[in-house]
Amino acid sequence: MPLRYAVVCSSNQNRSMEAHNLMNKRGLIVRSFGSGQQVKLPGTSLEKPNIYTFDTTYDFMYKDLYNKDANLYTQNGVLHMLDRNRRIKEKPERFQDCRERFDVIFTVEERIFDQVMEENREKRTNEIVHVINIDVIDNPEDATVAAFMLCELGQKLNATEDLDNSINEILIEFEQKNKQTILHAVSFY
Amino acid sequence: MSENIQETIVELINQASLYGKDTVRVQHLRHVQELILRKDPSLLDNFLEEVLGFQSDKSPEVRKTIISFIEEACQHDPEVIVKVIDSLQLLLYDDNILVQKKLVVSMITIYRLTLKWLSKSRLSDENVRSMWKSMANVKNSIITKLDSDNDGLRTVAIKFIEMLALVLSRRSQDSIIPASNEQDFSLNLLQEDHRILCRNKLEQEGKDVMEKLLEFTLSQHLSSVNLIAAMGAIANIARQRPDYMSRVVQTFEALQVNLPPTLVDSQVSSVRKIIKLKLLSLLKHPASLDFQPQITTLLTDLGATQAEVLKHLPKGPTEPKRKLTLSNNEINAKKSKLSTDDVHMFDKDDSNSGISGKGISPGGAHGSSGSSTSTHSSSSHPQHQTAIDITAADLVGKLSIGNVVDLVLVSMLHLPEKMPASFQSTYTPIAAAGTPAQIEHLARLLGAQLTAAGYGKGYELMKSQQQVKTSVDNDMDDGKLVSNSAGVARDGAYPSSSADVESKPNVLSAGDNESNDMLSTTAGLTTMSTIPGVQQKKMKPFKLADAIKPIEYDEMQRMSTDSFYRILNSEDVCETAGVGHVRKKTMTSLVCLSERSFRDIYEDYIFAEVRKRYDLAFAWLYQEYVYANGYLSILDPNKRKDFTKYDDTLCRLLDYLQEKPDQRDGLFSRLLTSAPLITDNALLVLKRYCQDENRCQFGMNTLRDLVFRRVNMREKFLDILLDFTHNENNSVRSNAIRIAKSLYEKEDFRQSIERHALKFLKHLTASQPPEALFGEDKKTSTIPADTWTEESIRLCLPLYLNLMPLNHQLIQPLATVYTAVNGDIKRVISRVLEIPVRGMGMNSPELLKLVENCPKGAETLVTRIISILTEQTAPSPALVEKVRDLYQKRVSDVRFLIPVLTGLEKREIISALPKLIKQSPPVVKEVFNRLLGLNASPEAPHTSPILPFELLVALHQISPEECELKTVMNATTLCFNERTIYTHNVLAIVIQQLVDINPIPVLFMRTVLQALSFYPKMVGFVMNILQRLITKQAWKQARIWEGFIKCCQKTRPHSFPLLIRLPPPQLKHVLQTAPELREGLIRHIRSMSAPQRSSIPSSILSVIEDNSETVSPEIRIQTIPTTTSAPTEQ
Repeated sequence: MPLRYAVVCSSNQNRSMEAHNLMNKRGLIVRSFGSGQQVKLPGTSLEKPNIYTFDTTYDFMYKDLYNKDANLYTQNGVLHMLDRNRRIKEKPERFQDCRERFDVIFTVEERIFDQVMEENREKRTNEIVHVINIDVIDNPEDATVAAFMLCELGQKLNATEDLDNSINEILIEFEQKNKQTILHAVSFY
Repeated sequence: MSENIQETIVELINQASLYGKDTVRVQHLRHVQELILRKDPSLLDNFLEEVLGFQSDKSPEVRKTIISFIEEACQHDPEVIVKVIDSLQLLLYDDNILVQKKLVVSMITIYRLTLKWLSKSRLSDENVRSMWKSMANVKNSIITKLDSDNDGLRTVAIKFIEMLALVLSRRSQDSIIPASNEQDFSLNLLQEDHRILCRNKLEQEGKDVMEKLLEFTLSQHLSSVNLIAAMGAIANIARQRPDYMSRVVQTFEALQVNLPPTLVDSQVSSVRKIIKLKLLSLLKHPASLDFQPQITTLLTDLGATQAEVLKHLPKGPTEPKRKLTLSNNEINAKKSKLSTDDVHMFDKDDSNSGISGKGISPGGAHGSSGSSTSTHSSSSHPQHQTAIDITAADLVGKLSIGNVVDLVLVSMLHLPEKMPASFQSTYTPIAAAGTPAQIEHLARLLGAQLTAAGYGKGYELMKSQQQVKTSVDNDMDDGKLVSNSAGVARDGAYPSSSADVESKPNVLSAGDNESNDMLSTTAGLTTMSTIPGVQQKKMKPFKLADAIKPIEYDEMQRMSTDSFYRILNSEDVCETAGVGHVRKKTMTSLVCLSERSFRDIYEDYIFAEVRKRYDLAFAWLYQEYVYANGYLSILDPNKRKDFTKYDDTLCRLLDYLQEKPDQRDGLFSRLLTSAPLITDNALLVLKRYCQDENRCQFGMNTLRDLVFRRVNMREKFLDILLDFTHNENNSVRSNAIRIAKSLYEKEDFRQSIERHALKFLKHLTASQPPEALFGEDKKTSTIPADTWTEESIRLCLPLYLNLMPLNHQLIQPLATVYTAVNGDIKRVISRVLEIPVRGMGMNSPELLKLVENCPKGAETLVTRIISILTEQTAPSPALVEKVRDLYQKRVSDVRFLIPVLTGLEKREIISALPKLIKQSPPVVKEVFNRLLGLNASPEAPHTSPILPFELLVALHQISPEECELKTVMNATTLCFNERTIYTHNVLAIVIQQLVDINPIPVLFMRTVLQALSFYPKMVGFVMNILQRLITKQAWKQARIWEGFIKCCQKTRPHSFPLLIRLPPPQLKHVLQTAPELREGLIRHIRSMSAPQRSSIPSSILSVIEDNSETVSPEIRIQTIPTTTSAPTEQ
């Protein structure tokens, strides 16, 4: 059975969507999420981000920002990103609202990892889920690099017969290879 | 509707049982699950069997789906469990780890549901009981999976134990139950007098598994995933069963400073992160109030900020809420409780001074609930808590600056080379060094370490208490006394947390909710009354022998034999399962270690199909060898080496293989060549085998292999082989010689074989045959042992003779022996020489040397050799030279020359002729054969130095002095008899030559007459010869003249014209000797014409017509004496 992946960042825009895009293309079963309260996109300055609710479509955001300042948002790549996102799915999803089950959840910040671990779900089936955090800086370049790493990791995990038994080794190897520190914990549905 | 669903389900199940993609089949089964359980649960009964059938499907995914189905079915109707328990048991031992894992996960729900259903159910029939028993087995089996090799399996086992700890304990008022678990079973729901479930036992079990889980959490070498799962589990338990709060906090405390050393950096940080998360979640829990100091200290160490800690502290309103939930009884009891709480708090002040120190409000009610909880905890698991507490308290006073400095200095010595990962992330600069709070924390840390290591005041104290407690707990299982006391105490208390205490009457609780006096009295009584009983019980040590009944010997035998048969019969199964080697090993070990019985069975088994199972025999033999040598570790290493069993096994195997009718598989040989050791008895078997006429070929080949492969026993095998070269049996002998010859070509064996052959040759010089000739079975031998017979003589020779063509030098010793033996043996030797000598050939330098140096007494041998050599081919010049040399210088026996006659010169032959023809008739015949090339083979054209006519002429010229006339006559007769050679042409040449010799050889006329009698048409030629004789005045040689007359008699009337030409006196003599001629002659003259008659001299005519008896006297004198064998008759 192929593994089911989730990638969680804060706004379900850049880091999780970049990974979603790539992993999807490589044939992995993946969904992406944000864990924040709202969706935040860069604005005209750091203090003035563009904020949307999670049920706003990517398409709407694209048009909204295009109308606001097509030049600026083309320059900083936000429009390009939204354009890609709207081709993948309709709108951002909030992790806490999702009831689907996964085998592996990737997070891109320690804070998000904590949120996922603390997420108080209805615990009934006791199925294992691995939560793995890799810190990724929230910019397009790092997101791309991270997407490749996550995708590679996902493919490696997919290739195992017995995920629970082999994940430790794979992660240690992955850490050494990519000089990345990762957090790894298990949780139960 | 229902019909439709049913049909769909049947269709889906059929689809799923067909071969196809596993994912598709899983989908079908899921669909079935949904249809049955969500749409029409009444169908469950109908289809359960069918669906369960898939539990043995070969696809793990399908089996997992079946587990999901069972789980959901149980959720739907717990009674189903009775029907599916067997399937669950089976699936627990599934080969696939993922299936096992899935089962454990599902068992968490199923077990919980089962307990819940059972607790409510009134059913107690056999099915239910047996189901519960099986369930217990499954449960125990899952618990043991904590030690599994598989990380994931351990993880789910942890979750299972978490569930056990929860369901096998009681909820208390301060339990925080997640909404989803609200309906879960807990022991509160179980009636005391349930028919199947024993509450006390279950409760104890819950404690045991919890203890196990805590222990597991602290064990070293845990993987990070397991550790995280375990921490999650104990934190969950602590939240839902606050009684365990202290133990759990303590475990975290111990864990934080004792992380498994196997974790790598990132795992350490993951684990620490989870510890932090879990501690924060515990901090929220009201029951953790007592432990806030420890928890906050730990959190600070883990890098939590003050803000984070504060955010997680329980909210103010918790307290009133709790208060409201207290039952009336408790409020009633509150007064007394408060007072005892005070005492209790005072007791604890030393260790828990941090409560006030940290400034957390120690309000009355708050404190009471807190300490009440801690009492519960300490009553449930007092030993650990207090151990650390006591040790810590003990240490606080001792941590003076001096001591601490000493400790630091001492521990410097033990610092590792590299900073461990766990330390690196654990270490945070100590902010408040030297403050009482920090000293106390330090004391606790040390206390935890010491307790973990089994040291310290607290640990020792607790240990002694622990022993007492265990014995009491054991006794409690019997349940009687306890239920009495609990029964009294339980009134109206349900479901208060005080129920906990009832089952722990040994603790003289100071802070119980119930009436203090009452409980302490009963509890005290219990303690006092039970302990002696326990000790008494303890006095009797457990002995296995008391508990079991010995099986009858026969029964035991039968069982072991049966099981052995089962192993034997499992051949196919084992092969398909790929464990054939295990089976083989098992069987050989059993047979080897067992007594006779197994061995016979095993032998029969192997030999029933030996071609397929011979490897078992080989393996067995090796096992016996290993056993005999004492290599087996299970045996006494000092055991003396004893090969009797090995020997026995080997011989029996060999015996059997030898008996086999078909020997072509070579198993006998293979067993011998690959056996680790060949015993003497095995050699005997081999010898027997070799002497069997039908098997000797295989036997000898085996011997050869053994000679080659078993270097250390080579001599032995070679001797055996060589002994067979003298075997009476022709087939045995020839096979042995064949092998010996092939071995002889190898330099290694040459000497020994030669020595052996020579030894036997020399036996011939002894007065009677050697012992060795008869081998072991002397009695059966048909050869007389005391005298030499041709048989026994021949037996000594074959090896030697066969070696001679390979090594020509061997001819020399043979000749030496020949001179020393008696005539009988000499004859035998001469007779058997033909093949070897021919094998050597006449160009062999060794043979020539023998001819040259012919030892005295060996002449006949040499003659025989030469004659063999030249029988079919012309002698080589070298041989002729040697023979001639020998003849002229040393041995003047002409017989030497015969074989090489054709190699001699004509002159030599002619000079030897007189001697040659004097030999016995067969020899003479042989001489002529050789000279005339009568024996020559068509391939080698005969080239004689003397032509046939020359030979005959030479014979005629032998003078009577050299040889009697009769001998010569015989010799010429031999020639005449060879009519293919002596044709009339040849004879004509001979006669022509002879007639020219002067004087004419005596036998001339005899030869003429012979020729005439063989070839009558030669008469014309003879007339011419007679004519010449007349001119040569043949009448002067009496024998010629006599022959002349005979010839005339024989050739009449052709001789008449010749007679007329004789001088009258001679004619007269003729007519006198042969008067019958006269009449013919007269008729001849009368038949002549007148002119012809007129040419006849009258003197002749008068002689013819004169019938008087006047004979010239000179002729009479010359008449030769008549001999018996007169040629006249020829």
